[in-house]
Amino acid sequence: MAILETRNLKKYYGRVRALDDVSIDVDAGELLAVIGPSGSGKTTFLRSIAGFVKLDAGHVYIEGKDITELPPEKRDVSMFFQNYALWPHMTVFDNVAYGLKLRKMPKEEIEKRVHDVLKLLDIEELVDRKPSQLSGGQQQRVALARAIVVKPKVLLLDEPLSNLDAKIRLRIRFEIKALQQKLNLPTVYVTHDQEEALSIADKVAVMHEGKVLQLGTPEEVYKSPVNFFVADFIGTNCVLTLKVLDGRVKIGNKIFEVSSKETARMVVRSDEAEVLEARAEPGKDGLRIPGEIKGKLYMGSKYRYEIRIEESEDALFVNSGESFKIGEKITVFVPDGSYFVY
Amino acid sequence: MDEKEKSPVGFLLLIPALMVLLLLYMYPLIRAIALSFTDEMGNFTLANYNKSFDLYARDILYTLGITLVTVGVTFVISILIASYLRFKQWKFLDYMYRLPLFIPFLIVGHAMRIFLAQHGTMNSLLTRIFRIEELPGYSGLWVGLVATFVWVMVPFSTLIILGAFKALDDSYIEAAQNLGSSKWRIIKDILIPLARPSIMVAMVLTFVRTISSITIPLMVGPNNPNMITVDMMFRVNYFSDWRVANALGVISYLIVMVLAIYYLRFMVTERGGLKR
Repeated sequence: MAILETRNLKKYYGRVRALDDVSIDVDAGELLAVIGPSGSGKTTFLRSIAGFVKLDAGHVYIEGKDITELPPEKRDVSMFFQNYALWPHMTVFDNVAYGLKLRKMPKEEIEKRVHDVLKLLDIEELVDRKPSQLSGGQQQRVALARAIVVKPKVLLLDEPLSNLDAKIRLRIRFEIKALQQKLNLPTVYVTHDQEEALSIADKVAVMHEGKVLQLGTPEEVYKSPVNFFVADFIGTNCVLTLKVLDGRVKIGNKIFEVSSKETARMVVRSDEAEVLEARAEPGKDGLRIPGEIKGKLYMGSKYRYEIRIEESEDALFVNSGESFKIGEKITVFVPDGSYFVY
Repeated sequence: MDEKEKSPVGFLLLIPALMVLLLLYMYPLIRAIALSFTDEMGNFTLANYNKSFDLYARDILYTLGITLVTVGVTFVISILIASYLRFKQWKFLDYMYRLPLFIPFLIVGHAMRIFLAQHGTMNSLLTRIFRIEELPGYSGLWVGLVATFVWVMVPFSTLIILGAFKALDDSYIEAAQNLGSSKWRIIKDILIPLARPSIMVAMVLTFVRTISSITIPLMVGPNNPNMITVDMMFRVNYFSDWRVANALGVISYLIVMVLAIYYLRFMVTERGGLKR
């Protein structure tokens, strides 16, 4: 049985559906990433588990116990806040120890646990500082320490990396993943960064307008998106609008049957696409689209090309290590499984 | 740049404000202090102070006591109302607590006198609703005086404190709640410490407004002991004794000054401690 179960959660703000029949389970030690554009309901989902959002319908269970009606302070879930929410009048020690003091633990026990968790996160030396004397990365760690020191049943992370700069962010992804596995905590991780979600999660839920469009492993969501929205939202993509003739779409060497009447959309994973010379034969099966180089950017290790094709008004943007000239005729190759037509 | 700094325009612009301060504040203050230390002949004397302490020592302590109790009760009620309105929306309370701001002291004093009297409104309500024995009249007693002061002081102090509470980010409160903190603990551990500068301002203002009030102690307070302000008025009205009245005035100044120094020192350490 999953530790955290949510069943048919519904929350409406007037006409806006923040949660529309959401049911997701999280097992022990599992990291669920909830992604979606802003306004998709992902933060509402997180806050409803923490008890800060009163649901219109549905139930939240932790270890089989219905906690839907419990106030936030009685839920035993820890939330990490996007802005860290460290109390500025307390030292790092007091911030981290607060949850333990509320649990009326003996003083020695509190000191030991605070020091253990600060050591685990490698911030022992900050123990007497005030939050205003810490860098963003240090504050992030203190907030994380405060959330895990109470040994919650479920850990909720609201955009934990969004306030850090790009370089630290990549490193901390590994740390969060390692930490979460070490603690074996069921974790809900809300982010708008699909790459972050794919890299860190055991399970990904893609949300849009309050609905879970797809729930699956990162590989499933990336390789077999259920609809156009998921395909487009996950990965680095180009979208081509194509004309439909007699229920069919022709592009390059392929013909697809589609249900749409006038135009269809194709999502191309541009990271997987390659630029080949016009007459080159790739060794693999895939989609080959003839095109012409319209623009070229030098990116250091590679070039980024803007490519015009006959079948669509939209341009393809593909990276390649090889150098082509502007105006040159080429072929764009996309391996099977890296393009989707809707 | 230097030329600009030497330009007299800036100083000229300051003059009206400076004049008001000098004429309406500094001059009377210095004159009051001077008068309190002189006898009828204009010689230096401490007699006015001796007389003040001989006659009014009890009243000075009484004034201090009433003021401190008023500040204490006002603090508790303001924190309760502000906390409630920080956690929950209640438009009715939000308007009601401000109402006394718009009622003049004189009317409050009169209303409270009737309300708190032996056969007044409060007692007649209590006896009718709860069928209990009539309580003694509180108008003319220190309890009635404090109650009236609190009624007058709470709106302003709540306004300041609630403003500070509302300025605090929700996440500070939610983070505490999330870790298991009850509403009471949040008030004590998060709201009050984070709003401390504003709460200090509210309490200092309450203190000063209470200690300097005359209408309310005159109308609601007991005849004996009296608040310093009432004693000053009597000295002037019945004895034409400006010197002792001024000595009493200087004494209230000193009481307020102790508070002012404490407050300023707090502000300095607060600013110095937090890197802003």
